[in-house]
Amino acid sequence: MIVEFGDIIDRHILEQVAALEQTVAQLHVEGQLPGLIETVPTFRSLAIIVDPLTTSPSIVRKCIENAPSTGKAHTPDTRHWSLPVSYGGNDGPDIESLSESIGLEPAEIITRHHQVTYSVYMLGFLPGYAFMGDIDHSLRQPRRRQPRTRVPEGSVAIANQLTAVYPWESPGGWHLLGYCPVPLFDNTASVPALLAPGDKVSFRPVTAAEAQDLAADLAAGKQQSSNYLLPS
Amino acid sequence: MTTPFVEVEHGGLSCTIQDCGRRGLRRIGIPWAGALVPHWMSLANALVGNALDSPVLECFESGLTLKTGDTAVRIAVVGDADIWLEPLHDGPHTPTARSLPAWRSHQIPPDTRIRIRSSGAWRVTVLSISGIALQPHYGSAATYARAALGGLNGKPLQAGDKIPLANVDQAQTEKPDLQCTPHPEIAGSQVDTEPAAQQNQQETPPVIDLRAVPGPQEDAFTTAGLTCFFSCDFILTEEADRMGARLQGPTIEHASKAARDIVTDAIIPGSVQVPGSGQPIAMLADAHTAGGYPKIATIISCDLPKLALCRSGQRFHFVSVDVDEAVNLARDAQQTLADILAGIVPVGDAYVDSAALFQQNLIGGIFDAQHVDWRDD
Repeated sequence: MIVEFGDIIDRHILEQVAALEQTVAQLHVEGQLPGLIETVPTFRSLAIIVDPLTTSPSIVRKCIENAPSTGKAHTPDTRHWSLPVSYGGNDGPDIESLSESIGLEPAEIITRHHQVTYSVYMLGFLPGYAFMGDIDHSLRQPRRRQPRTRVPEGSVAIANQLTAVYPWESPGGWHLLGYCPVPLFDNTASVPALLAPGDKVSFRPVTAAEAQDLAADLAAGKQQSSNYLLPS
Repeated sequence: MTTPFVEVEHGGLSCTIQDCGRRGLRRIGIPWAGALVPHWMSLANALVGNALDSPVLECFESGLTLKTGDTAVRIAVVGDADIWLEPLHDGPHTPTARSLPAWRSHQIPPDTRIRIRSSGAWRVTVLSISGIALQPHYGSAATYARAALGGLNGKPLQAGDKIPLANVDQAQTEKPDLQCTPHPEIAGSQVDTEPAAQQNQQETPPVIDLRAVPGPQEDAFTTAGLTCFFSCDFILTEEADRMGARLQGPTIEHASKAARDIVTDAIIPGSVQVPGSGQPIAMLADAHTAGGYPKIATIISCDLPKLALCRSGQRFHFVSVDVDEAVNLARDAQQTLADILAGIVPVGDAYVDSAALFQQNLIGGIFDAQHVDWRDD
């Protein structure tokens, strides 16, 4: 079942989705939601997936409606990541075209991208792909008219009000600004996706050479992804 | 003593190891994966004495060739498949090449090649191996190749792969093989079990009903669009894989141009998305977790295997059901599975009469009862 809150990307809607997910998780912990399989938060809704052999959407609905509202989701343990990014050049091939279309110098685009601390709104599209926002108003552009058939792994990209890092090589239509050497998906980690809904993310500019060195260190196990978590 | 195994000689195209799939990770973008026809997985496992949710091999038209190592293994094939055995080496005791029926288990000698090809009405064949022993990856052995999860190294089966088995229990080996009556209704009661060759060429194949709950974005379509979806026939195209299947039919009308793209929403197996083209895309086991096309309906879980099993060209008709009906239908389907599992009997039991054997042949579509050795063990 899907509980819809709206059909735009809006912080207020995201908070409502997060609050409901928290209510559902609490009911589950209390043993009041047998048959709950999982919940999936998105920009517009919370999907509540249940096993029809054990329960039914109408039972779940009643249970949730009777639950005391938590109002706003409390996020006591928000994680804050600082991820290195090599901006521009071969790592960010769309900065020049973006500069022409929005009338800002490439250096200014980079500054405006990394000076904001983003929130992870939801994951999806690809395993570990985190939709983050909001980017500065001056940087907002629709997706490329011609999507790329191949966006390299680690690409830092923007489209409309969102930014993301591609965890895999894949097709994609977002504007590529840079390269992040920290793997966002590790299928040997206890939790394979680095980012989770609700996390905060900052980007820290590094040179292309530094990014390559970091990528090599991370691949060789000399550095861990968790090193990029800021102390809370 | 080395771990017993079955080796893959040819993996065919996209033959994967699947089980019930992994749950709880959609919020970080990881699909469930898992068997396209879960009841066939349970049945195949029951026939070889495995836990019902053990991993099985799921293969498509291109088939699969395996060879046993130095231990005998028990396998079962569920589906509409040709199965051949041939000895890898000549020896005084090795039988000559022979074919075997599906819908039962078989004790396969060491050093034997097993070829499996799906042969009839259905696209998917399921093979279970007694004692298959794979480590779960995030709670499941289901292969999801796009993120290298599950299976053997996260990939479809490839030549040279060794599928590990638990040490074979001697008592288990001595148990008789098991069989069940083929139960096409596991895939959906409307599936016609007549072999294609016996059908009149002029006759259009029967339309299969897919029951679906409208929404969650039914308001993204005009009344005419919704009516069209639930009244017209849609044909399965060749663009179908474990992730989803594209259907072709009359254009389903969106309420507005803006309604063709929505803010990203959750997707599950069964979701029917309608992009700007107006042609539906039904999502299957590997469905990604979120997407931006409006969803006109969700196919109920017990009807989804019908879509996964059929070949391109099959016509479907969507039937609207409400949520409560969908829940009841899911429970009915589970009861049907329980009944079928309860009807599994040892091969050669008096219970199985010749009429049943002929029925089995008919459904297999290729076996000549006179040449199949029903009591080869």
